[in-house]
Amino acid sequence: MDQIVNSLAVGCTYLLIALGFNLIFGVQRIVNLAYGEIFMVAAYAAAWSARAAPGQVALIISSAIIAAAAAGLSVYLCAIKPLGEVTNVNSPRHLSVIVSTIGFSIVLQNAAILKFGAYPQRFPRFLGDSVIASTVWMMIGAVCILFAVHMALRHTRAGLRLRAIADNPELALCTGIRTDHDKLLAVIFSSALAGVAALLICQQIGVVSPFIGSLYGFKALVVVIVGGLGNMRGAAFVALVLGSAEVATTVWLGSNYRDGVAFALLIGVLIFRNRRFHLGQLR
Amino acid sequence: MNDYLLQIATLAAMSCLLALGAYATLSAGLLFMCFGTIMSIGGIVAAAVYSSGLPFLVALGAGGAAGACAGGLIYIGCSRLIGFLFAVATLSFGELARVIALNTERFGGALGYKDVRASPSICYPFALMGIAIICLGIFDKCPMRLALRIIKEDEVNAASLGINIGLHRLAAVVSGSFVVALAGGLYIHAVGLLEPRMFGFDNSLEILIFAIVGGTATYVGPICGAVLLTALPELLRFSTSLRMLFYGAVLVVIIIFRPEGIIGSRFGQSRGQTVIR
Repeated sequence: MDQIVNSLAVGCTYLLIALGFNLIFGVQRIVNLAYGEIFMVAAYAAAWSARAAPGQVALIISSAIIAAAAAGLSVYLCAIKPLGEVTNVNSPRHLSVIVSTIGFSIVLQNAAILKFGAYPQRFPRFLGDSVIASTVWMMIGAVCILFAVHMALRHTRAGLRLRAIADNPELALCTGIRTDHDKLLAVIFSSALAGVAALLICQQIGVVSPFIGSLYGFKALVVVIVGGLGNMRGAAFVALVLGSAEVATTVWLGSNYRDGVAFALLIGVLIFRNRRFHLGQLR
Repeated sequence: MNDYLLQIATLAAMSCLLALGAYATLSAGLLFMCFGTIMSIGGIVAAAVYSSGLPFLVALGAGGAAGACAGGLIYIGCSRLIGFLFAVATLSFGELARVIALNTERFGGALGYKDVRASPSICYPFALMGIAIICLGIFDKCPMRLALRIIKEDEVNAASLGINIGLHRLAAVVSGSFVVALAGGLYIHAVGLLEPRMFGFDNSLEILIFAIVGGTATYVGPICGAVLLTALPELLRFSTSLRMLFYGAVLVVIIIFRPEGIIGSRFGQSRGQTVIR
């Protein structure tokens, strides 16, 4: 029973961080490798404001979201937009985007080390004092956010526009959608999701460190690719499977092999079921 | 020349080899993301062979061959994937290898592989770099390079011209892996230690970044990129704490102003050659 709850909790952390990553991937068709660092910036912003004003939950939440949105916008404006349109994930120009976002993530990571030190810090459990309460809050948050993202994409006009852009950018432009504006909207929205994910995940694990971003960034990449690019329900399913697989590995093989599970899963799925993979619709 | 400069020059020579290996696969339009693993395999095999008493060059060759085999096998495993998914699959192989190396005592575990004899001479990196540059110079002018360029540009077009895409790409990956594994053998003997971190994503990415920042249109680009990016952290040593911050910022600036790399496609092409971009 403990292990089932545990795997659900781990699965929820991956689901939370994969949702925003999936959105930005679907709309821009770009692998933003600085996404983990946006998450990290939000976590530090929340930790800092929790120390400055303890108990002010609304303040903590808004500071994390604002910091994440600001970091996401600056990554987009400094490292992605100047490189021009990338129409295809396989184009050579996408290489440049990968390198520039990595450069930006090095900058953000080292800025965090400089400001807060390289060692992990305690993150206040501002929602619930005990481990169980914070885990329950995280799960509730994950389910609410999954539902909210689903509703926003399916039942609002902005969501309709984003799905149109993800499906076919040129056609969307021809039908009068201002793709520039809506891409910016997607950047802000997905960064804000990273902020919420940072809040919920860090209050559950209770620590924050400058290297937290790259750890979760990788897992998000695996979840998004195995679940189907742009496919939210697939991502949710894969996140839970990955969480249980990791917990099972920790129980039977020991925690040393835990980080290998995600990659073994990815290799197996890519090599043996590779016909499924193409850029799908944003569902 | 003092020891410090010599050490940096040795590292730069090895970085050049690494970048040239990455160039071979990038020129085939493949984003091969586990060069760190290839380099580490080459290094560990070379160190094991050399400490068993065989000559240094034989050991390097054995490391290179092991790396080339590993590269070829990984390519064959992933060959049905295209573009970005190929990159992600190879990246996963690299990270998996890192986790395995971290947990295997034979590879030194978390402390790294330390069973290394000192290199017999400091000339090897420079000599091998010279040979590699000459080979790549010849490679850039031969018909296979043209075939690879067409494959990179448009696979369907290449297939319709009768080019065997799989075979050309396999050759590019195997030769690139061989060069990278050689550099791994040199690295482990120069440094005397190989950490499991070297198997993983960070190192693989650094190798690719050498080539991408330098520019992958000609073989001159990767060499420039490797020398520049090896020297850059040392040049920025005046501010220890801000060093990596500047490194990242310089990376972003270079890519934004020269998306095709520092050395663009015009440089180093003879006049008669058709320019295929």
